[in-house]
Amino acid sequence: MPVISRLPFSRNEEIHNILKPKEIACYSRTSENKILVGSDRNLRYYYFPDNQLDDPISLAAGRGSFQDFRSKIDDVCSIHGLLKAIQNIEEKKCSKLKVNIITFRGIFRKLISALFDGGGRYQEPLDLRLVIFDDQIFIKEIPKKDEYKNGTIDLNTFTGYKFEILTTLEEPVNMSTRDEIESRPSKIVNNGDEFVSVVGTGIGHCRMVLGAEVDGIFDFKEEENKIKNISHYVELKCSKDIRSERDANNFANKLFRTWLQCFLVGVPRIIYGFRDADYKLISIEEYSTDNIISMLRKYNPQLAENCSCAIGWYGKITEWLLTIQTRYSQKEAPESIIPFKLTVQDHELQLIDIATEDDEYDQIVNGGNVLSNEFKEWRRRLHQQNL
Amino acid sequence: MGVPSFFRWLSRKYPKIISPVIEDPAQVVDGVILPLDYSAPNPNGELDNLYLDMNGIVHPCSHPENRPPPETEDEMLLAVFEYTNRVLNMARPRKVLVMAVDGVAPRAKMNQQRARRFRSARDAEIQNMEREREILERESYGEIIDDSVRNKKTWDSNAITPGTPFMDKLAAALRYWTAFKLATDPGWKDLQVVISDATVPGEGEHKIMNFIRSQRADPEYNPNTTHCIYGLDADLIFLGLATHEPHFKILREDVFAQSAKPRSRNGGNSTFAPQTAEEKELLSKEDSQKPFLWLHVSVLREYLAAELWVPRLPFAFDIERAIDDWVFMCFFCGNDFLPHLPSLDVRENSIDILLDIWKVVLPQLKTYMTCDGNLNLESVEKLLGQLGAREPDIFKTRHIQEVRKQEAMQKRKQYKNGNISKGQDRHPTNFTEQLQLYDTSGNLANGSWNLTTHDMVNLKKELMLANEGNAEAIVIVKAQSDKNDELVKNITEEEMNKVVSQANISNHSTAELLRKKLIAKKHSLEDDVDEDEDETIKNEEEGVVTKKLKTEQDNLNNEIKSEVEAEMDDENDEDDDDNDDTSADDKDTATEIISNGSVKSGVIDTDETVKLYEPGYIERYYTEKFHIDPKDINTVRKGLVKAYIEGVSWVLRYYYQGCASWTWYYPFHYAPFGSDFTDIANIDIQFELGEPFLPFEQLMSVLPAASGHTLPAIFRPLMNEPDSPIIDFYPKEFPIDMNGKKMSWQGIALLPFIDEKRLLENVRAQYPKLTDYESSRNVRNEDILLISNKNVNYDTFVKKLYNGETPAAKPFNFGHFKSGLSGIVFVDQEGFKLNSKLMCPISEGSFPELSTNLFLKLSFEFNPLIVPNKSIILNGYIPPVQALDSYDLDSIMYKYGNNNYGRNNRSRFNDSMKDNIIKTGPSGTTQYKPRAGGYRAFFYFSQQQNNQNMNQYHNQNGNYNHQNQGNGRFDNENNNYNNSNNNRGYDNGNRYNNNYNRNNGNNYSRGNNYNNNNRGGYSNGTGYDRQRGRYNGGNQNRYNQNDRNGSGGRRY
Repeated sequence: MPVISRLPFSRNEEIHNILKPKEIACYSRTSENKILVGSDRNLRYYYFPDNQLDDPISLAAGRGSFQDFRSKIDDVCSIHGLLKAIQNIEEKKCSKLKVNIITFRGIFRKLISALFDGGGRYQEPLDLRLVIFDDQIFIKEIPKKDEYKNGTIDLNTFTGYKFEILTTLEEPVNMSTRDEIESRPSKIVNNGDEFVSVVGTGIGHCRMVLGAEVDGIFDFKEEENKIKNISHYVELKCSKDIRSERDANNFANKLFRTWLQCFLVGVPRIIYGFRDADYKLISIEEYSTDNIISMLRKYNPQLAENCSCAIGWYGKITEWLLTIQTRYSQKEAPESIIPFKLTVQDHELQLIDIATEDDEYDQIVNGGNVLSNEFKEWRRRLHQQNL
Repeated sequence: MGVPSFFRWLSRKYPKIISPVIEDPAQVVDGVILPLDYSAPNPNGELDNLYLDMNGIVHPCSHPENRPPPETEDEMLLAVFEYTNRVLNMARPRKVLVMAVDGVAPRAKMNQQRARRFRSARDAEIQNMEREREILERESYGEIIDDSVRNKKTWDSNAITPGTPFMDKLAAALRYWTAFKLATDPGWKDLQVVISDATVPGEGEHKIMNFIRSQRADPEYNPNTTHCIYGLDADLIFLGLATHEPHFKILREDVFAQSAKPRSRNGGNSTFAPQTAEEKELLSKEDSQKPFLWLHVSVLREYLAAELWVPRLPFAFDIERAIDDWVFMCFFCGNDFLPHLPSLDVRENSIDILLDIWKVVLPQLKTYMTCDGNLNLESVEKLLGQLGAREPDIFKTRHIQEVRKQEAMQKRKQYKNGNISKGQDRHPTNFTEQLQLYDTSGNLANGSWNLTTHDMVNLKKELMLANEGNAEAIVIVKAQSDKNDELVKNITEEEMNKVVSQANISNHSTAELLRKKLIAKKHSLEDDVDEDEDETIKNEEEGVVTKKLKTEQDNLNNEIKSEVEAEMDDENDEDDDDNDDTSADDKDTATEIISNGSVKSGVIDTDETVKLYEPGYIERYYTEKFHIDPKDINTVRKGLVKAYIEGVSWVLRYYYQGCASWTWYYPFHYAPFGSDFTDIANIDIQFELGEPFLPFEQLMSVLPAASGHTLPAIFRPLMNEPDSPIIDFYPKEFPIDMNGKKMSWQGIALLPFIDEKRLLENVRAQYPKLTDYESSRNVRNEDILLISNKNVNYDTFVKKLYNGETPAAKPFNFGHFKSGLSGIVFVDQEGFKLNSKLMCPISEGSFPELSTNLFLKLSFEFNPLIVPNKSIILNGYIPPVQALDSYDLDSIMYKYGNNNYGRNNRSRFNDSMKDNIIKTGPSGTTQYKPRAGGYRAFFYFSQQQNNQNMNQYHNQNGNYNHQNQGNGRFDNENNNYNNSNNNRGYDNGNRYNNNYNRNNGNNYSRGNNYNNNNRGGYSNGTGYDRQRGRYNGGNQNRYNQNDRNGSGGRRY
């Protein structure tokens, strides 16, 4: 398959103008995989006081009764929900959102950290599908198979969900009863409910919409000024405890990725839970996204450099994608769907053409593999209206 | 509760909770004293919210202890302004000020208020008689007494009760003064003032608790809000702990400060020592320089974290719940609503006793004793059971100590040859045994004199001399006493004749016979009883109070008489509709059985006969104090216990959730024993909320007849006229039971409990006759909110509520984040209008007219609570710099040498207290302390290890060095986490510039919070503590070495 375009890895610290992320929409995905646009019912509130760490709670408890909803979903990486939310906005405004790229934040995060994986064994594999439609780029990931091997969920994955359930509440703590708060260690963990924030941001000349799953609100929600809600979000993560320099370095790498993740959509606060060898939660630390760079500079200076490189690389990627988009938009009609593969190979990003004969071609162009048919319809109608 | 005693005990046990208040000296320019710059940083640290219990200000301003009171009510209000101003300048709240005046109290509190007011009326009466006597005396010397002096009466401090004209004036004055400050003081521009005056029901402290709870209910609430409450009551300490708002401190006058000057000759209260203007000024200056101090609840929490640690609990240790249990035990030792158990007394470290029991009992329980204000009765039973087992010893020990003290005093007396104090007062150092003391049988204690209150005043001089041994004086006094004896005997006999039937009077030996006759003549007896009362009243008016001097025979008569009366009461009770639908059988039966005995006035001490230190005390206690037969003890006991448990539940709920019932009260004068609390686990506690009384109804419930002048004239006959249907609620004389205590104010006033239904019926019947003005004082109002026109919310409020011709009546909810206050506002109900003027309601002080465009007045309602209040720390709470070092904590854990309650510690205490500076407010930027396993913590602990290693080779300073020097075990060199910026989403405007030192919306920088000058070095981490098997709380100091502008520190 021919590589249409390449973007070699390059580390440079060019400064790019970054737009402050704003939340433009949101949706909740229920355990039944229903998308509720505009609903924040799955958005939880953080509450975990320091003194609860004195008596460590087990993050492995309850693994047996874990309710696995995700495995029942056909395509966990589907962007249909995102598209629904966007459609909702566009319907209200009767015009297309003026953005260049529409995708999930996680995808961009992977694209950027690909630079730092160094190639070779530790390179995180990337299998994306990029579609140009209506003068815009839509990117989607292909889900990995066999995530759940034996039926019981992987312990580390489980602890992530468990940590989230343990530290959040449905309502703010001021409005929750004592029972709700104290019964959390024994609550059944599931991975069904999700809240996704649809964030508009941009770098350089590129404007993007990134869908991002948000773990919770740290303090309170702004009723009147929903745009500002981003400044209240928090990212929750779990990690093994740190007992040696090596642990610290490994953690710093993970922290870097998390920083990237939060930086992209403007989540200001990161909370890490640390568990010991018995999977007991023994420590929690809060970090401010803004200050991670300086913290890394102190403890892992080489990583701090990575942060600025990351931004430079971020800019490069978007520039590259923009050029691709313009190139094809000039050639083809806007309503056509042009599919590509996007992967990492040999220290570069590779955009690969998908031929018409390919199995995937039909699924993407005519089917709902990337873009939902509903969305395609909507855009086509919009064109009709505006003509 | 005994204010100074508990406070003193607490500050001795936990010394570092007290720190001095630093007041900026007033600047004098060209001989003019400049007003204080409110906006300048506060040397005591910054504060968000200040709560004023206004009664704690109004009382000392209107009737001060050691100087003459202001002449007019206007002057009093002016004094209130000045005092409040001083308090505000010390505390300098930046966001919220709540001024709470006591409104109508719940019934449970009214009984105590009633007792206090009756006693203060009695004291005032004595004082007035004393003054009159002195006038007469001076006139007899030929001195001319000015009419103004002669007619002056001591101002009745009972006017400080909701519903009186004075309180009305106070309300207007507070509104004006607040508006004045908002309009004129630039430091007040962001301050939001909530005024809850006497027309809003609830006690001042209670209203403040409600306020704090309502703020905590808002999700936007800042968990690091700093609070301060001004007040003199020890209960405020519990209030502070019960809020579970950790940044909390109390402001109060320094009761430990010893004034250099001797007290003025006349004690300041005499009307005859006209003070020169100079003297007045000197005294008032002295007062205005009286030092204040802070009581840091935050530091108390640190102490309690060590004190309340119990190892090997079957459930998780939760300091907030443990604190609630501690508060509960303190309430048990003394509160305003219930008499305390005989074995408990806040002065005798009873709290320590209960605490020890609690620590033993807790591991046997499933959870803590209290939960959010609800009691676990099983646990309480265990606790009290243990207490009961110790009671006999407690009583014995107490008695032995008493005896020893007496002996010591006797010895001292012999040495000094005289029992007069050395001061100018020349009062006897022994409390007067010679004053009338009765036991419960009505027998005069040996050697007592039979004197009326009149006699006591008239013969005051003679009494004093008699006590000193002056023979002539003794003769005079004894003569009077004998005279009284005669009178009483005669009258008693007459009375007896009426009570008992004519036949067979002389033979009193057969009680049965009498009983039969009495029953037959029950109706005539009823009449007679009434007559007796009339006679009593008549005799009182003639200046002689009937006392019943009992002989053995008379004893019998009175027993019968009481029985009869009790039977009559029974009938009445049955006739009445029983409103109580609570299962209060035990309580009611008990109240029916108990009678008040026959002593109707004077000071008695029932403890003398009960003799707690001798076996059999339980039976004697019940028979003597409640005047019942031994066979009724169990019923009475059960009733008492049930009511007491209800009481404790009520009190707990009062502090944690709000008033559970406006009408509930404890209907007995005494408490049961700890050992009586058996089988309480199944007591069903239900409260009926009811409604608060209206102000006049409360006045009628608490005021004695002598204070009737503060009520509308319509009501006075109800208190005075003999044919008033509720006259029995206002006895002119009543007995006071010292109950084993020594100070007169500790005695229990044995007043009859008011029957609510009867009172309300009669009082409400008079309402149609009230004038309009009077009716206007008898209302229930809402709180009000005052803000300046520079407040962030001003424009929104004006737009939504005060624009246009017809103000939109829709209430409007606003959140905490913007201004530090949340609640519901609506249009002012008292007629506030923009573009208008506000005049000063008092004539003193020359205050100007104010434009109503400079401030805004609104009606204010607290946020409703969606779920019951929880005793938890809210999300995002950042602890302050740890004030206690390892030595302090160890001394609590291992109890070294702090059993020193002796008085000689006072001076040393004062000195060490002066140096104690506590840094308040959140320290650092994260709510989590460093724990092994974390990323930042990893570097933090390894750096600390390095420091320790290095220090081995340096000279080490003394062990317990507070000043942040690295030192072996007791390492106090600590810093914060300094990385995480942003407290919460309070950062206005998150941007991608690396803007490190961002304050969280505070205009006043709390320097040490957001410093990025991390130099590492935390103190002993959790791991270390765990190995020692200790609590995990302590030793997490967060001192920031680079803290120079301390949030509350001295500048070094």
